[in-house]
Amino acid sequence: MGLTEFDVSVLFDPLNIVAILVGSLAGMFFGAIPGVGAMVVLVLFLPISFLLPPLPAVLLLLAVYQSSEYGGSISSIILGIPGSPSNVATILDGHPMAQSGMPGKALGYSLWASTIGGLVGGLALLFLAVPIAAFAMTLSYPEYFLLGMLGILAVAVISSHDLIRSIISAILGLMVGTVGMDLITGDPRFTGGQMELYSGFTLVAIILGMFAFSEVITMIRDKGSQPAPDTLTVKTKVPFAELRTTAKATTGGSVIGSLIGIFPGTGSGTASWFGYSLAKKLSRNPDRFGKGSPEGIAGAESANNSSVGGSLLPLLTLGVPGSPAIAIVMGAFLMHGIVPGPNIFAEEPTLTYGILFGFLLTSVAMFFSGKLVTPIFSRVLKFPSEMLIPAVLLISIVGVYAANTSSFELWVALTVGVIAYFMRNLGFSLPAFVLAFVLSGIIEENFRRALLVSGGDLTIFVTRPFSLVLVLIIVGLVSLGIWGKARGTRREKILAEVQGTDEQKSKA
Amino acid sequence: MKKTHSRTTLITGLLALPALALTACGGQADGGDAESFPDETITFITAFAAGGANDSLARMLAEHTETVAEDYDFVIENIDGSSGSVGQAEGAQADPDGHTLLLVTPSIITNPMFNNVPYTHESFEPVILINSEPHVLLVNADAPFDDFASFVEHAEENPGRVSIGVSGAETTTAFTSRDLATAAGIETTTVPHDGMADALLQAQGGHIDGAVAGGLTEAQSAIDEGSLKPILVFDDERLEGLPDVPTASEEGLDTMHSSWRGVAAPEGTDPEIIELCTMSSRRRWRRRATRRPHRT
Repeated sequence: MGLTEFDVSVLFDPLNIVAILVGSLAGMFFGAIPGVGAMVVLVLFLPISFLLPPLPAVLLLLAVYQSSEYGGSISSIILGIPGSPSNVATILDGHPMAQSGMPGKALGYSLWASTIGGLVGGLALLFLAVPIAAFAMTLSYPEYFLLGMLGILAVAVISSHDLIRSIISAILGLMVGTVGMDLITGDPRFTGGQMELYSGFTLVAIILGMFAFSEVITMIRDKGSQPAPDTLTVKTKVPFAELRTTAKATTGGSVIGSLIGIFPGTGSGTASWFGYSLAKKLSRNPDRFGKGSPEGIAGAESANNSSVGGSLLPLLTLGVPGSPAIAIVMGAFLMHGIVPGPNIFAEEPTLTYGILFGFLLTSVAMFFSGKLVTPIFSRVLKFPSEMLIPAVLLISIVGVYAANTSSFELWVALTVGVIAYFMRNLGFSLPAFVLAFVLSGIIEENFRRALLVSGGDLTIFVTRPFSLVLVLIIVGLVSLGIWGKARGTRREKILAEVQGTDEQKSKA
Repeated sequence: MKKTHSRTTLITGLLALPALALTACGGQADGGDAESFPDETITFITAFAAGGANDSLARMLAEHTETVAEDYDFVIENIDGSSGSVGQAEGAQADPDGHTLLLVTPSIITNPMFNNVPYTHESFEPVILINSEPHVLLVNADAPFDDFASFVEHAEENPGRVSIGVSGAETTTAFTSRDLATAAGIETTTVPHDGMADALLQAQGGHIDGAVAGGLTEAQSAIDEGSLKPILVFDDERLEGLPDVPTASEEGLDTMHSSWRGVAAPEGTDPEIIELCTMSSRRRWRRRATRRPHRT
């Protein structure tokens, strides 16, 4: 059975539609809780999916995954606390826009970008599944390593004011990423004998500590100096003309997100950074980034949603889950006795094509439930801070605990929060830290695996075609950056000299 | 369609045995503390992330047991972290009253060996072995060797250049790969991955020469697809699913390795409960096995 022969009416079985709608609404509500990312919501819904037949079961989980990626942006934008690791990049522009009195509009941009990203990811899944799977097979450790390095370059993009401090933050992030068991030799590193640290710091604890706990400390310090809530516009409607300005960012984010999703093990967090960086590179107004640029929101949010479709690809075509969240979806397949892999298209055509088409529907469902739910959330900022602070703190603690039912992680989050408070006040970039922490594992492990396989020969990075392309891109970006910087400083010098002579003249 | 079906049946079949056995624990208990067992919800700890193979197994087991025995009520608790150490520590420290059970894998032996954890494998009482699958050596279909003899030959000619993917640094498949090198007197490079699926994918793509899979089940789809071919089974008996693949003992190697999964209770659990479980499980197992011999 081919793509065109699929009987689409199978999808409109009431059970499938209900599964998609319930999944969308639930994913959005739970995803909006700080720290509760797609993973936690999926675990919550996994047992429910067992009660359903295979198709609605998988669609339920995919709808949950899809809309929790958008849901996570809600708390990023409103509170400046990422709902999940994949929404950290959204804070950079979403939160400033919300603070400038337009939380509703910021959410509107996010919803549009998420939906378009989801649809692009779904279309990529539908039409490119087979060729892309073949392409993914040609990628290995050197390419993964270089992809990670390319991601690290985004530090330069997200740090508009103080590059040196951002680099320091990123290096700290890489260092914290080395804590835990060495994945190649199995030796524990910097664990202090603490069993909980053998697998390293968990992303959720780090992120909540960095953004939620430090935000709460800041809120307590700045008590009473909040902007008057009456000035906020909660309307989520974005005029079409304004929406069009984000078209480039959304397209770029969607395409790069689908691509990143295909790399097993990278996931939507990495994708959102690539989407954000690309949006800034493509933008005509890169100066507005970090100050509430709609393009920044669109780039990050379209990328994390389109990566969902991308990460489903390796699961369906190779039997390898492209992200930890997709691994949970794989559990639903296994429980129904279906082993995802290259043969699934031939063995379970109705299910497979049902998933591919149904995935497009989850994006549509996300859009409408988003329209329904978003105005409620955009009112959150109208609450006085005396109510908001304790609520955020409580929700954050629940979020950290829920991720792994471990109280150790609460202490980690609290400690990280205090450190992050000082980092924030000293001008060190928290997003740069998180970005480096997320990528540290990909970079280190794959670098070492590449050298294990090559017998220590570094030429492995330039003798493989795709790897060489990545090396050239990285070298190109870095030299462009240095050249631009050098020219910039020379111009500044000249300007200063000219001004100096002007002053002298005027004095004279 | 057919293939999936038979595999499903096989998996369910495998699962049905211990599930029945677990049921038997309560159903046939008739003395002391064991009589009222279970009088509350049983917490079934899985020391691995939700959605993985181990978790799916635990859930299937619990679900099946609940449908067979009405007085049983399970709650699955995923305590993921540190290669299972966190969940295993939790299981070891639980009240030994039979109401906390743990899904165990060989990692309950290896974690205490390599890391500083508050338990050893002796902190658990075995309840039942669910399944045990011998490891399988697979090579890329386009590799310059197509059987074990030519594999060894190639490895001897290229010492250290033959790379074998395994699921992680201190996992049973890593031990198998190293043990194979020692036993066969060859020098290979063991490449740890983040899980078996990743290792198999790299072997399928030809980025490494082969992989040691922790059982036929997880490698089946790659074999069916034709990108990987099995060349050695680490056991002394050929596998039913791979009748043409020689065993380690046929090749004159003393390397037998398997991955197993089982259920354990914390140390100090009333031996009566455990004894009852084990006894009745054996009986059930045998009865089931004689009725459906192909399922064993």
